[in-house]
Amino acid sequence: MDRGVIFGALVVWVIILLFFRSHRNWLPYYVLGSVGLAFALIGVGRLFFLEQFLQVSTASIVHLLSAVTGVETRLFPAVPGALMVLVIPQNLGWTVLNIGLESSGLLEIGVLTGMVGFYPGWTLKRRILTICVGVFATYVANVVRVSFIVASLHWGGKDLLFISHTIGGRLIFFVLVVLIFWFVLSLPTLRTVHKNVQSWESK
Amino acid sequence: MIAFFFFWGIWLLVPMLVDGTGVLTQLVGVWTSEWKNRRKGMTRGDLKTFPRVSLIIPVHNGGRSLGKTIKSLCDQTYPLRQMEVIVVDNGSTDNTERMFWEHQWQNPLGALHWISTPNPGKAWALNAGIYFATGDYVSNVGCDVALHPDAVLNMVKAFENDPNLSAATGAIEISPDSSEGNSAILHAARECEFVEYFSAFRIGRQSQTLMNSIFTLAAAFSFFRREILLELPQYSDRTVSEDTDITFSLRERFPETVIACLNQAIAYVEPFSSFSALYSQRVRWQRGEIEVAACNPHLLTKNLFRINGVSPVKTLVVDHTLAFPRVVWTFLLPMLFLFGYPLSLVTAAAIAMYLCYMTVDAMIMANCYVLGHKEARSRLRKCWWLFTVLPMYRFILFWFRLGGFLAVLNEPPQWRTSPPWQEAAKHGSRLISQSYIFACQLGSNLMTRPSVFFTAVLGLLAFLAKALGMR
Repeated sequence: MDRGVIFGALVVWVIILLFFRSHRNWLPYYVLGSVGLAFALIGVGRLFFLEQFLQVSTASIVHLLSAVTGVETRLFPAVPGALMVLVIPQNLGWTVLNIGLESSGLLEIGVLTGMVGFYPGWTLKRRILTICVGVFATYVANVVRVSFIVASLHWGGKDLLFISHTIGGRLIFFVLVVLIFWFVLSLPTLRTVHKNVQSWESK
Repeated sequence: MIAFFFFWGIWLLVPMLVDGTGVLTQLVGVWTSEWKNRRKGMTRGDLKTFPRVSLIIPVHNGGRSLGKTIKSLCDQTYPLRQMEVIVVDNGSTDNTERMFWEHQWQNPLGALHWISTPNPGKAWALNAGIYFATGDYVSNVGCDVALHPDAVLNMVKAFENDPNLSAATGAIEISPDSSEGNSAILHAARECEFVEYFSAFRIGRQSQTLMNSIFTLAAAFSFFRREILLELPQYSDRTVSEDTDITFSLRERFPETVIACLNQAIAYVEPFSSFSALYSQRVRWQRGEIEVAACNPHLLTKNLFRINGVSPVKTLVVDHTLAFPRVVWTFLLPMLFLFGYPLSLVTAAAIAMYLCYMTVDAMIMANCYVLGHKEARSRLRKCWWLFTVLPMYRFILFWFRLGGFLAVLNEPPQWRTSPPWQEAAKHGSRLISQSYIFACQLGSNLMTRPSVFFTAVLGLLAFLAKALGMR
């Protein structure tokens, strides 16, 4: 996309955000801010190798973890993010598992950053800290998900791949991410609200 | 397509599954409850004695509707001499008091009292009403509510038949949209509101009754055993949802208590007057939910791993935790074609999701029809097509509720909240008019000094050229 268009869109986005922020119009401010930030982060992440970093690092960590669980895997240096898994049933031998955009966790990291980045009522320091904790936890959850898929492929064969990849792995990841969202967003929100209620009550 | 759903639509699909599963669970619950009620007949049989009932009507600028509320109480089939009505005004500035006196002289009730509280706030009004109430049962009735003639009788029957029942909420229904000259959209939205309320009480609350998991005793019409109510802390204005707060207090004080929703005790409320009013109401409800949960941290994880009983965590995960990723995904999903997914696939997925929600709403409406009374059935027959627009209505409400979650973080509590579109229009028009005045003043200044004008134009062009990456 043209640089001028991107720059113009960014300026307009910031102006509209400032307008809503200054008038404490939180709903459009939050929606515009969180969606814009998530979209920008995913876009930038794809352009500036964040996605590739996530793919390669996830593959490497899953490879290291698989040694502990007894699942045989090999990294494929020629293709970043590719992980070879030894499939035991059916005598299929080595199968390449590609960690793509959807398995890299980039989307969920972008969503979490957007959600927290423009969360009203929290200081910038608190939001940055929450994003750091949340992103790390999401990354770990994604590693757990990919490890589950790799283990399923290793022990269950290719017949299990669709179920473990599309349904099982996704649901495990979903449950973990909901837990993360609960602990980084909803639970601290309750504490903030409790403090607010107490301060308004005392006025 | 299936892979697409699971990979990309998970944040919309899973909440959809949560919603769908929730509805299915509620349907199982409501039919079990229906079957039990038919066997048990909570509101059947005649009363041997007629205990005294105190009905408290907190009112604030309710002159327009108070007359209708009092009239509906005068039309009750319960012995009127055993009914005591206490109207508690909390700072009205309209003709509320005059409306009250008009009815004072011509009512057949056992007693009709007027109290004015020095402090504004519904909690104050309710506490004052309870202080003066002398009945064996105490009921809160909204000042814009009209009770069905059998409402009080059926409530008392249920309480007399079940000694474990300590509080109950009536079935709140939306009155038919009688106002004329409304747009088709407003009319359709009001009919959607009718289905929403009807299903919430006939299906949702009934199922919750079976599980003893009622979260809120409706402020429009709720009933308490007097001795139980007097043991509870007073109504508090620390949250905007004093009805949920008292329900939580009740559950905390009497953990094994039974709270029910009684379908035979119907209370009618007016449909929302405007989208601004609807926004304000939903913001208040959502704000109230999170405020009450936040103020009762010790109850948060209660019943987390049980089917029965209220579990605030479960409610908040569905309402709050899932809401935020849904916000981002709602906009991110259509943009996925920018990441290489075909637009046709993204569109097909969105349509499929809408169809799923439509199916859920059709199922809800069909069950409402089977469970409903004669008037409701006739109304549902007339607006059978609503299942096609109900997902849209619920989607709009989702955004309204989100406004409540955001407002609670740094805005002080208030009964009415301006909707964002009105705020944006108000501030936007002010900004435009101020910018216009500034531009006019700047223009006249620059015209009188040509050298400054040319320098400004050149500077602007240079800035734009740099911004657009030109050399």
